[in-house]
Amino acid sequence: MQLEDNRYHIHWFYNHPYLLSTLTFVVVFGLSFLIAQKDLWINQEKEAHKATETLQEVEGKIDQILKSSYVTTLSIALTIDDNGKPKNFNTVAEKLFNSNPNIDGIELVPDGVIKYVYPYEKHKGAIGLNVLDYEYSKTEAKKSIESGKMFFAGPLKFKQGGFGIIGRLPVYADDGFWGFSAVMINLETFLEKSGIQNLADEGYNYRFTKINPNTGEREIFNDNNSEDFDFSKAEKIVVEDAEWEIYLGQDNSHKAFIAASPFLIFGLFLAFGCALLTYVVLQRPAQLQRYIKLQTAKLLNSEIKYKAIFQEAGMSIIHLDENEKFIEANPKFLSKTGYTIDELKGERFSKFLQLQDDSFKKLLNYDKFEGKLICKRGLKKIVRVTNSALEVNHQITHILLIEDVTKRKKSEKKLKDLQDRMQMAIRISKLAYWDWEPEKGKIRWSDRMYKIFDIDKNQKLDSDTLSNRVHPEDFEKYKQDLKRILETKEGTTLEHRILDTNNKLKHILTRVECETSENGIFKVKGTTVDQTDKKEAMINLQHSYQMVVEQNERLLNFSYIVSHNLRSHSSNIQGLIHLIRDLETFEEKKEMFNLLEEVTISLDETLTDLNEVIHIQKSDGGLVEEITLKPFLQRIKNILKREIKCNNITITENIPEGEQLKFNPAYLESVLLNIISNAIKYRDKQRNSEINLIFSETEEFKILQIKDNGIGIDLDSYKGQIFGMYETFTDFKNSRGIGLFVTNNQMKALGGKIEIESELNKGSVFTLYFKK
Amino acid sequence: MEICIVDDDRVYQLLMKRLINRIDGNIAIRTFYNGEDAFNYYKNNHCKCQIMLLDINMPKMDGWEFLENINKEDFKDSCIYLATSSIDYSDQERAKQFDKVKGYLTKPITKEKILEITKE
Repeated sequence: MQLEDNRYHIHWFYNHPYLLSTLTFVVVFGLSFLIAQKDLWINQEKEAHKATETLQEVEGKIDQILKSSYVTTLSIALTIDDNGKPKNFNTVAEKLFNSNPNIDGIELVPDGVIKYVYPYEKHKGAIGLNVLDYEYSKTEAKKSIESGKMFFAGPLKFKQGGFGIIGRLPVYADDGFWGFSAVMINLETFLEKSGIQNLADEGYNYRFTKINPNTGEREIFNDNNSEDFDFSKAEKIVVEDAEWEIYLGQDNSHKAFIAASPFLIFGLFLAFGCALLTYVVLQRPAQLQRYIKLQTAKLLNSEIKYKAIFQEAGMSIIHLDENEKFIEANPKFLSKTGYTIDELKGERFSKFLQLQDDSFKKLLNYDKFEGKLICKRGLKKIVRVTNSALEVNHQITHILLIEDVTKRKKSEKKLKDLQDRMQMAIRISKLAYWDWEPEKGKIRWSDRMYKIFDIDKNQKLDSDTLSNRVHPEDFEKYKQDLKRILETKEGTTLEHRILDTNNKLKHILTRVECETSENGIFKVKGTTVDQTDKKEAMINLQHSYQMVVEQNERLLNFSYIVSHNLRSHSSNIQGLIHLIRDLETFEEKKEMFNLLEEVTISLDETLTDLNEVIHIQKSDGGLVEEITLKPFLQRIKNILKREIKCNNITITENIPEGEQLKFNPAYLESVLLNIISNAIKYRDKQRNSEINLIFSETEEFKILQIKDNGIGIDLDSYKGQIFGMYETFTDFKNSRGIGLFVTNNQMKALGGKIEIESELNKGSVFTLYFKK
Repeated sequence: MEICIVDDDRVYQLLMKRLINRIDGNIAIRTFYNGEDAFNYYKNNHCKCQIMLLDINMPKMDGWEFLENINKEDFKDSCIYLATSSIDYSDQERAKQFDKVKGYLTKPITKEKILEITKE
């Protein structure tokens, strides 16, 4: 508490740097003022002492002047003989005068009347003056007679001129008073020799005074011209032999003050400096203080926050001492485990924790660990614990965050199972997966992908790795697909053929997904499956299906023939026999028999046709050979020689020499005979008939076109029926509708096809496609 | 009375002519070798025959096409019978779709059948 108070006071100081610096200023300035004052006093003392000394010096000098004057007057008085006459006055006076620099003249005054003077010229004006009668000197002269001692009169005005003092020594002869022996001293000389003049030069305030014996008033003879002078306070010396008073005032204190003021100015600066320093020095602690305040507030805030977190957190938090014993546990932990805080306090945390790994000897050495938390009713929860050590006052405690990961663990396990199953599914389905970042050119393949392409796993992948393997016929499609995906960024399913490194054809099915991640990276990924087996099976199936469809078609045709053509013959025969029975005359019967013959011939033809149809269907193409077209055509023309010649048909060929076809020769003969004989049969009799044979080829087929300028067929009406069995489009007697049916079937049996273009009265074009 | 026969089978036509003549010599017989000829003939003429025997399978225009193209009004006095050698069930079913078709006759057409249809 006391510490607090002290601290508080210190804080108070820290917090008032202005006040404190002002205080510093006042104190320092006050001190310096006192010192200055003391200094001034000392100076004054010194001055006073000096003045006394000076005064004493003046006194001494005056004394010396008076004494030397006394000696001079006495010496001159000794020259007076018994007659009362001075002997050798001038000679003696000259010697005395010269030996005493303090005096300006010597005189002898017998009976009070000035009679002898030296220097004569200077003072002759005074001769004959009776000093005892003379207004200015009589009082003092008498005083000197009365006292019988030398007395200095003046300063007074000399009769002979000038202003000065006169020292008179009364001289007595045997018969009494003789007169005076005197010396004259000019005031200037006196002031100079006595040192009074110096007082003015040294700046002393002084007065040289005397009470006028005649008037009783103070006369001032010399001063320093200052106005006011307090005689009562001044120091004085009194020259008794002249009744002079010399005063020395102490009025030069202002001088002392001026001498002290620089120190005061220095003191002012010093005080100001100290105040500034104080301010600067105090300012730092004040800042520090503010910082501490801020930190304290922060600390308090964090403490509140910590408490809030601890109490309200959705996560279990416990506080342990360094021996793993509970100090505190938050409500979440208590509700989670079912314990009360009293049950926990003093218990070790490890008692409630079942670790997965026994090697954890001391829990709190680990930052993170997992284990099973044993709750009140033996319930166990998988938890993840995060430990952070807390050091307060050299005592280490631990805050433990406990996260219930039971659900997460379960879902992790589920995920793992799912992943395993998926892996298995991928393995079984032989699904390959990959991803590609087009911008970076980064490609990743799964193992299966390398297997499909038969590429070594260590080979570096780039966009060419795949495109190089695409089947040349699918390459254009592949390029288009790729372009489309990169433009639309939409997923799709693609089928391509590829050639693996052994040039083995494979059919691959690729499912493509596009994805743009949050950071804008565009990624194409997907799965690829080798569907060669499936595809081949499908192609086979399609072939089979095609075959079945065709065979069914043929069967239908066949049944149609049976139901229509064969029945029409049989019904005719039946009808004829019925009629023959009824007829009586031979003529009539004979006619019917002729008809019966006609019917049987027709029946035979129909049976032949049927045989032919069945033959195609049975033979399945027969033997395929390389057939050279030109000679083969020549043979056909030979067969039809008679018809060509009779009907004046022109046949032209546009076929390269030596061009060959892969086909069954018997079929080809049948096909060409059929089409060319049709062209002849259905020629237009109004014009010269021409037949053109033109050869060309595509990648897949060799093509032979047969053009005629015959009567043509109305394709709009008969389009679907042209190659059907027993389809006829004319009233020609020998049109049986079997030729084109057989031709079509023969072409198809060997992988080729036949197409027709035709226009009535213009002609027809039959195009034969032979598989290469 | 007039009977019209539309059929490409020459033998059948001869047979029918003989048969009909033997039943009634007064019956007039008109013949066409295909549907187109018959259609062209009756395109703008009212059909005067009471009975028409129409074959199905014919070149140029078959029996079905003929039935689809003719004007009903022209044949309101005539009974059209399909006379065909087809015993195909689908043909019989298809014939039922045409209300102009009075009946479906399967060849051979006997004396009894003709008597039967001429009586009506």
